[in-house]
Formats: sequence, structure tokens, C-alpha cells
Amino acid sequence: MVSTVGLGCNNFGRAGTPTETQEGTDSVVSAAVDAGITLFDVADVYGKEPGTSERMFGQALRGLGKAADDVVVVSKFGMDMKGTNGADHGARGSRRYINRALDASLERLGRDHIDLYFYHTPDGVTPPEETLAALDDVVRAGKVRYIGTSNHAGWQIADADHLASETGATRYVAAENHYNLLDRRAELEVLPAAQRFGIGVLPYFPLANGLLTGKYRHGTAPDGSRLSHSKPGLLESTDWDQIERFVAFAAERDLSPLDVAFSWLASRPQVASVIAGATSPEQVRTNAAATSWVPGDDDLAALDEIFPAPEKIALF
Amino acid sequence: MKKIIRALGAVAVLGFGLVACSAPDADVEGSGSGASGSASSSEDESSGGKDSGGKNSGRTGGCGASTMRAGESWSVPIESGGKHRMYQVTTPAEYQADDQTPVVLAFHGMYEHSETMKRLSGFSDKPAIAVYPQGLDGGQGTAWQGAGYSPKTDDVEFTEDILDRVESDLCVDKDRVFAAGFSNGGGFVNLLACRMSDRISAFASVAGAYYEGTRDGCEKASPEPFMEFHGTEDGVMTYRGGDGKGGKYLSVEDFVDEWVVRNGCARDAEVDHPVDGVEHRLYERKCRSDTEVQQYRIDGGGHTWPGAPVHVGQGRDTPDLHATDLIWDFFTDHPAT
Repeated sequence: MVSTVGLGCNNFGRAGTPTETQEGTDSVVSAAVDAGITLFDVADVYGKEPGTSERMFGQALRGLGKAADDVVVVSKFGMDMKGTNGADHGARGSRRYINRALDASLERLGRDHIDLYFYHTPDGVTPPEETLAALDDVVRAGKVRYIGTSNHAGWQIADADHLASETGATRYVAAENHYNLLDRRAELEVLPAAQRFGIGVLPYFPLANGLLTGKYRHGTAPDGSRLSHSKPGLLESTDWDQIERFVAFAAERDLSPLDVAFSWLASRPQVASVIAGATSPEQVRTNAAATSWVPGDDDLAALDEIFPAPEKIALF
Repeated sequence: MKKIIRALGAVAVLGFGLVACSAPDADVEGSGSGASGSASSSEDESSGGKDSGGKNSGRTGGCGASTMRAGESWSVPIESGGKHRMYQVTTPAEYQADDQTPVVLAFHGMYEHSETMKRLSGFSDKPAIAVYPQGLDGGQGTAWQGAGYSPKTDDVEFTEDILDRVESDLCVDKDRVFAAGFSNGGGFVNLLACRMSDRISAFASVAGAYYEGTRDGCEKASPEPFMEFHGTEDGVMTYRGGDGKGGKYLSVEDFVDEWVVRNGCARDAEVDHPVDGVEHRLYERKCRSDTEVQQYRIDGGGHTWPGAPVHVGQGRDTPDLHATDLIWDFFTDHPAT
């Protein structure tokens, strides 16, 4: 079991954020545990340099003492580590690479196992049967408890489940994918696949880079906001009327836009935990409390009006 | 064939670095386009073994390669009969890529997993390459060919494919390839004894399920060394035989007698009692082709693997009788002749 909201650790060690420092990271991790968050989502590639986030998160966990025993640590392999794990030959789903990446992650985290280990993105080269076999081995070796996919298509999730079922290998139990009210494409293939195969979905970017916080209005961004300088194009392409209707929807129910965005995700039957990044203890506490609203059928229908479900490709 | 090449392609990806770094003198299979090279060479190698009339000497394609290191455990995906299959393989602590090493194939029981067999049998602690194939689930639980509940698949072909692959990945002593199994896996080992004795030199079954389908082809089988363990109070595959989940099955006495007759041994066995409540029968007089038959009858014993570190099955364990040690000694006494 994991908390409804998980802490995304991609900001640990990120330049220009309060969690760039170890002290800032420690305070966020501590606040998360105090707020009842048990799921911590890190990846080997996170941080200003690959491995930075894992190292800082590992140190923060050690600072928690016994409280760290109850934490579910998620990490990932498969993104470009720019040589940190040695030459990867473009085959980051291979047995050779997985063993290297996992040992390096465990060393940085300072743990003897990872609770949930995600294949961060398919490498397009390694046959899935080899990746599954290699992950099966690390589960049997006790280095990993459970495995999952991230950024995999629905057919890849189905293919992997079929392969695991046929061969007796360890199955993927979770899928971490881009999913929020503004980008519902995961509903086309990923969520139905997850439902069919009993896989829990962990949506990332629940606030669509902050667009669903209500802080961005008609192309204006609050001072110092990350989106204004990191992704200015996103602000230009945003449908601001849609955002206004969303903000009004939340206000009518005496909720914050963030409450609505998180609670809507949490209400999806396939969603196991909503992954939300944070750079301050206040953000952590806000995020942790943001899934208490349970939308009714009318609320869901109204949200569908504002954020229509993606149009199905097939005519059925 | 196309799919086989694709599957092995992954091994080439992972093998590339290892070969390049630690085996500069590795042969052509380890370099560059190793995927298809490895597949074709393993086929050549296996056919060489089959045609050698039981004299299986000769280095396998895996000698000199560095696919696995000593003391490693891998799950290996493999295509067989158009299906995705898997086996686990462990290398012994003292494994060296240039030393020809015996192989033990160990088959799990019905509903079970290769991991269960690994823990139950402990063959990975022996100086052998231990291979634990994974049975398919045809809808009634994982099982091997030969019983009424078995999935529709050719597990003999699967075993051939596994051996091809193991021989191409690792340095195998082809004169010392052995097979053991538990329950449904034990019954399947009987099928292998009747149909794969060109590549496997000795066989052992623990609490075996000797359904009719596990004796398919045995009428033409050659004499082979065979060891059998069975508890008289086995509640799953009863000592006296009967009609079980997978159909009618032989009594243990009849099953052992078939091998005594097939091997041409005299029916009067040497009898001893290695531990209290266990009768050991050794049939070795007049046996053909240096074979023998051994049987351990465990009075009051259940459907278990004697001496196993974990309890799998039903009924009374026999902790003082170490089946794995006895099987290993039996195997090493019976290389291919």
C-alpha cells in the first residue's frame, strides 16, 4: 500500500530551487513523511547531474532514522545517464546495463534494495523478454521488490504482461505515465491496458507544469515561476479560457485548482498514487492534503466539459 | 527462426561489452554480429553431439566465452516451439569459461516455479551448471508434458533448445549432462530418459508422477541409469499407483521394474537401509551398458524432496536422507559412455 500522493523527487539537486541544497531536500523529505506520504519517486537521471537526486534523497532518508523503514522508495533506470553507468550502447534495457544501473542506484541511495524499480523509457533496441528476464533476476536476488514501466505505450504494457505470464517471469505491477486534466491521452491506451492487467498507474505532471494550479492566468506567470523561463512556449499555446473555466469550477466548490487536479486523478480507478514534485515543506503539505475531495458524477461530467476526453482513434 | 535471431540479438547486446572487456580471445560467436552467429553455431554443436552415438566429448561453443561469470544466476528467455519460454541457470562458484562443466537440468512439480526447484533441490551448490526450466501454464497450473493436465507443448523440444543454448553460452561437459525432477517434473524426466538419452546420461526422479504420457517412446528406449525416491505415504502420487489428476499412473514398484527390465538388470537387488525407515535397493547385477537402477523407498514418507532445506509438497519430510547429495553422487558415477 502506498499513500495517495507520492513525492516526486526530480527537484532534488535541481539548480535554482530550494531543494538544490541538501538542507532544502532534507526539509521536504521530512515534511513529506510527517504529512503521511510514504511513496518517494526518484530516478537515476534526476538532478543537475545524473545521480544527484538519488544521492541527496538517500542522505535525507538516512537522516530520518527509523521513520525511513516505512518509506516506499521508487527509482528508475533507462534514461541517458551520459556515461555515468559506463557505455550503454543504446541498450539500456539490457541485462548488462540494468545490473550496472541498479548497483549504482543502490550505492547512491545507500540502501540494499529498491521497493519499486521502473524501466524509465523503452530503449527500442532490447527485446522485452531480455529486460523482463534481467529484472526477474534482480527481484530474485532481493535487490528490487517490484518492477514497473514508465513512458511505455499500452501495447508495450500488454506485451510485457503476456511475456511474463507465458514465461513465469516477474510481472510489472505499476506504470508511471504523463497524465493530467490537460493531457488525457493516457486514457486512450495506457489506462485500459493497466486496468486489464491489474497494473497501478502513477501519473506524473499532475499539474501540467503548474498550469492547473491557477497561478498562471491569461499568459501571465507569477514572479520566479519556473514555467515562465523554462517553457515559455507552453504559456503561449495554453487555452486560457479553459483554465479560467477550471479555476471557476474549483472556486464554486470552495476548492483550490490543485485540489481538483489531484482529486480528479485520484478518483480514476486505475490510479494508485499521484506523483507530485515539491520544493518546499509547504508545497508538500498542500499536495498531501489535496486528494480529500471526492468528485461526484456531476463534477466529473463538468470536468469532462472543460477538459474533453481524447477522441478515440478507432470508431467504436 | 526470425524470432530466435531477434531474441538472441539481445544477448549479443549484453554480451558485447563482456566479451570485449574480458575475453579478448573469445571466438567469433562473441564478436560483432554474435546474435545469428550464436544461434547457428549452437545448432551445429548440438547436432554434432547427437550424431556422436553417445560419445558426447568435445568442447561446446560456450567454452572460452564469458556470457556468465562464476556464481551467477540468470533468468534466460528463449523461444521454443513458437512460444516464449524461460529457464533459470546458475554457474558454480568455481566455474571457469575454459573448463568443461557438468549440467544438471532440474524440473519443478505441477503448479510450481523454477525458483521453487532451485531452492528445493539446491543443485546450484554442486559443481555443476544448474538449469531450472520453467513449465508452461496451460490453464491448469504450470506443468510438464506427459500428464492429462499438461499444456499442449513439446517440452522435450524445449529441453533440447535449452541444452543448445546452454552449450552455446557456457562451457559444458557434454558427457555429464543429467536430469532430475520432482513429482510431475519427475515423470517428465522419465520421458527424457526415453527420448533424450543421446544428450543426457543419467536421470533421477523424486516422488514422480508416472502417467502414461511420460512413457511415450519408452518401448524403444535404451538402457539408462535411473534413480527413484518415493514415500510410501505419498498422498499425491501414491506408491501403489492409481488414477490421479493427470490420468492413470504406474505404481512405483512397476515403474522401477520397467527400468530394471529395460536395463537388463537382475531383479534381485542389494538392499541396505541408509537411515531408519528408508530402504535402498541397488540393481546393478547383469545390467547392460554400465547402467544401474537405484530406488529409495521411504516408509511413511510423503510427497516431498528428502533432505530439502524448504518444505514443498505434502506429508512427512525425511530430513536425514539427502536426495540431492545422493542424486549428485549417482550422476557423477554415470557419465555418457
